Amino acid sequence: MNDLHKLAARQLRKATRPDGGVDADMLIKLVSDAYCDIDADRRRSDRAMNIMVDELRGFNEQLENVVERRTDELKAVQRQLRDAVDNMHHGMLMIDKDRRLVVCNRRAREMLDIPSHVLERPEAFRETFSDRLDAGQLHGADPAFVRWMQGGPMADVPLAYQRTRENGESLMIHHTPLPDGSAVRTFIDITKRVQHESALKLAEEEYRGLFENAVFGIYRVAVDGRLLRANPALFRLHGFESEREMRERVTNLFDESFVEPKLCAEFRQLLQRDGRVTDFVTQARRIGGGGHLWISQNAWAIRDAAGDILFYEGTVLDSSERKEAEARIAHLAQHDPLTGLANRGLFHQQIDAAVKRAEAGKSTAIYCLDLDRFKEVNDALGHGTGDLLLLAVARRLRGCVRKSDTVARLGGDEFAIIQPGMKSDRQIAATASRIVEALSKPFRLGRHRVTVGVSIGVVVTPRDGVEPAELIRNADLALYRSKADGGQRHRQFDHAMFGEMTRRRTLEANLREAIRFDEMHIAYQPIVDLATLETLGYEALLRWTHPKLGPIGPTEFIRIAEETGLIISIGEWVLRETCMWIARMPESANVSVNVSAIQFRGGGLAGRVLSAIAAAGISPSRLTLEITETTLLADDPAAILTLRELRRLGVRIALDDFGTGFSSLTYLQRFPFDSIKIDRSFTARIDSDPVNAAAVRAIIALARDLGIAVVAEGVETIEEARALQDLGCRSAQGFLFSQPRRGECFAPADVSPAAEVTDLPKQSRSARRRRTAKKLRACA
Amino acid sequence: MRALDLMWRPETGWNVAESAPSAQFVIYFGPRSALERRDVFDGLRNAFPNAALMGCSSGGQIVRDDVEDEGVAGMAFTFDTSSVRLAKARVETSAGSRAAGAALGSQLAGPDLRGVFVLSDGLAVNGSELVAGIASVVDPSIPVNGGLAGDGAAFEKTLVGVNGRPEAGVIGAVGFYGKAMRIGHGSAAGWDVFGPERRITGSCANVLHTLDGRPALDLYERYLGDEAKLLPASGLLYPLKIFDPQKPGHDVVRTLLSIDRSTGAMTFAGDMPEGWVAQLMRGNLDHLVDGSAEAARQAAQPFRAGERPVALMVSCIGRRIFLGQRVNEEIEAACAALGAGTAALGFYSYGEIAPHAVSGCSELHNQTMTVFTLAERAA
Repeated sequence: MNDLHKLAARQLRKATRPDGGVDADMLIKLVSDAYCDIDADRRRSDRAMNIMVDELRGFNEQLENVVERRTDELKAVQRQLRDAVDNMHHGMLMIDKDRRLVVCNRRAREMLDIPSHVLERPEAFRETFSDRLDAGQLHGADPAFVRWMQGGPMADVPLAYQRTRENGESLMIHHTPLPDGSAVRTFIDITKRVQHESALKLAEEEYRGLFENAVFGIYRVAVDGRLLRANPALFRLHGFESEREMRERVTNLFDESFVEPKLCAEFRQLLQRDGRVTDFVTQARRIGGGGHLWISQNAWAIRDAAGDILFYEGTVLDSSERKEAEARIAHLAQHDPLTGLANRGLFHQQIDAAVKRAEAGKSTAIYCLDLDRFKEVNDALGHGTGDLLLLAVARRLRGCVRKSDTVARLGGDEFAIIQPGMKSDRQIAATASRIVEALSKPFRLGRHRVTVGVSIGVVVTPRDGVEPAELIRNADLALYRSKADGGQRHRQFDHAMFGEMTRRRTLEANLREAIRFDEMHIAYQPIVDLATLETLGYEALLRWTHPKLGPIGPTEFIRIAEETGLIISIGEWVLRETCMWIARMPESANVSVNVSAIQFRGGGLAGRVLSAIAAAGISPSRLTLEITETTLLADDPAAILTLRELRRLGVRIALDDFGTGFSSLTYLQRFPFDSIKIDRSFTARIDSDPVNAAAVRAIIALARDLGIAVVAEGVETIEEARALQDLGCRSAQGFLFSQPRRGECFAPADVSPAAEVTDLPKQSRSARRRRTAKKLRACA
Repeated sequence: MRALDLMWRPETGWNVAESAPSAQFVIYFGPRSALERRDVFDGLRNAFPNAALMGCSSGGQIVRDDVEDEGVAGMAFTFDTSSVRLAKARVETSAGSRAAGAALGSQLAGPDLRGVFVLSDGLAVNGSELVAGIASVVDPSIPVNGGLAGDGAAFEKTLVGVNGRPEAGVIGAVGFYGKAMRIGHGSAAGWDVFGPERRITGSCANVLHTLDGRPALDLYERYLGDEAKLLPASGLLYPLKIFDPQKPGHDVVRTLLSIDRSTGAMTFAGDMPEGWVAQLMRGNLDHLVDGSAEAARQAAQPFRAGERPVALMVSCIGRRIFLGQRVNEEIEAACAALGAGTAALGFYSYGEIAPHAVSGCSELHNQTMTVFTLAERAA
């Protein structure tokens, strides 16, 4: 029983009753159940095994599929790798520890000229290498690599080096040792790069030369303004000894060099925005040396591939001289070089500015000035003295106004003043009067003492206009008026002046046609012997009667004729008419004709005079040409020559308006006049004014000494005539004796002894003349 | 410490000859049908009016080296210096398992706690969550042992009694306290893995749906053949070894509790995390018996020669189904490993709780023999 199976023993034990007997049914059931269990277990096992085998088979198939797929993938990867390696731009070799060539891409084959048999038989590589080495074909090969190829250690082979082959090609070789003793070597053809680098080096040397020797400063600064490079011109400009010294000292080139922070900001902004700044002219600090200077700066930003600014570069030119020249030019452009006063351009700008700045309740006065008789001074005393006069005038003008007022010279003898902040016309008039007074005082110019005057036209803005052009036009009108009124005064613009201007324009336009339309005639005023009242001659005087405006004063239209040049043709007509009239008169009648200085210009006067004399068939001695000092003032040799020529032919020459000029006596020396005519300003009130009397006495004495006849003009009273007579003056003309009359009023018979004058009451002579004669006789 | 064997049989009732009113703790295991009888618990309570009483229904009671199917087997403990404390929790659904575990743990946690033995409802509780709940409260070095109550091969209803008549939906735990208390534990399976490794591709907590993307139930039915109609009990013949592929070697065995043919869901006694690797296992008499002996050897280790610890064995119902009449051989092997004359009591369960042989962390096992040993060392 001891040998029973454990299970059987337990079954038997369970089936054994307490009395020791065996329950057979129970035992059999237990055994049977056990068999059933075993069967079930076996079937279960079989089933499980079969299923598992099936499953494993399925898994196996799956696995095989996976392996196949992976193998294909691997092959594809291998192919890709081979293609990639073969198509690399760089050459690549792999040499195993036995120095066999196990990998060699296409580029390496080409570069290193590796024969195909080496590719088929990797172990042939070492022999080929040795053969080439022996044949001296491995020019530039690294000795450590050669030793390794010959069995030496790999440790000494450099990981990167450059080799120049026998054919001149340059190769960059990288050697990468692998743990298994093999090595990967890559080859880059750097021939072009090497050439490029040497070219670059050359270029760099050239540029370094430019950098070091440039006359202008060159810099490079970091984005934060730190100085990176400065050439000698720049560090010297800033007062440093060396680039290093400047670099150590400068923390921010822009901030430290710009004098104006605002300009620095603008400069940076431009640089940031445009990447370039050209000819940026500023005042700069000399960082090392102290002081300021003007510089012209170009700068530009250097960016990387992403467009970010790497640093700035720039050039600096010391433009102090240029700046000074510019300032000078700017000043010259706006100022008169002679007087330093504002010129016309600046004057216009200042008017504009004054108009814009105008304060409420206040006006700006604009004075336009024209010197009287400047031309005479210039002509008589030369341009040098003229310039001295202008300078002196400028000084006096400045003295008449506030410092803030603008004094300008508009050209020639024209000046102008802008005076803002004026409260009243009275204030303005006071200024103008002050100026007139200041300029009427004599000027001492070198050894000369000169007296001029000034005419002033005044406008007030905004009352008289706000446009500069309008204001200047109006001021000119006022000035014109001031001159027309005889100068030495000021006139404020008023709108009536437009009417005067219109009249002048009308006269100017009609004057051309006045002769043709028979609006002009010549009146003759007798010149009488004060003692006998005998008519000695006549003065021809031009008269114009405008069809609408009536008689026009000679002062008015002669000036227009002179200004327009019409005086030439009018003068010629007067000469011809007078000569014709002379021809009709008795032989003793001598007639004076006024000749304007203008008529001397351009020559031909002598011809015209002779032509008129010849046409009338008269003796030249019957014609006297009256010239004013102005004619001689021009100091024109041609005018003197003409006068001499005419005199040589017999024409008489008289100096008119004697005494009104400032150096009348000078002219008496220059030219042998036949007579002089004392101006009416001396004649007037000669009986009561001792100064006039003294002047006339002196003139008469002088004329007597020189043998020149004297005629007093403008005698209006019997007292004047008597006084003249007392002073020794023999001849005179004036209303006292006769008004000027048309030529036809004088019969040829009139030209007879003075006694006839009294005897011809019915003729054109006035009763006054007769009365005068009586009185004079009575006095005598 | 003295341990007194107890036995209740329908025909004789409890065999408590000598009354042991001084016993502090009584543990008992029996068939559900017996535990549903009022006189079973009442008799015990009368016999041990002052003791803490804890027991559960099972799939067979281990009494010394034999397996008893009809009687209720118990053991009364009288400690010299040590003490015990009972804790009780109820669960309605498995979702409350972790909270119930934590509640039990907090009732038992204490400085003198030496070991915990848990008896839980075997069908309504997620054993993994329950153990995790207890471990979240008590010191991790305290071994937690025990098992899920069984219902033979019926899988219908399991009962647990904690100082009262056994009922469903109850979890009981006893804590052993005192410096003299010595605790040992061991667990081993002995099942053989076979077939390919599969991946858990569809699962939710302890419910498995698919392996390698295919219904897991199909796999079981294919392997079981005719025995498929005996599911879920027959499913115990093919437990699953599962492990986290990130931690190979730290594997656990999962046994089937129930199936739902309408949804293909298979409910296991512990979590079946998605992504883990699963491999079928099959029984082998010799290896299972060796496993039992190994578990007992581990449990005997802390004790000195001559010390006679009492062993509480919890083995899996799956092992019993597979071993059939030869189930005694694993009990005998375990008892032999513990030493002749060792008092042993235990039951076949729907899940075993013991520290993992490798990690030392208490967790739920399936298809294992677990052995919990205790003795009181004289001062």
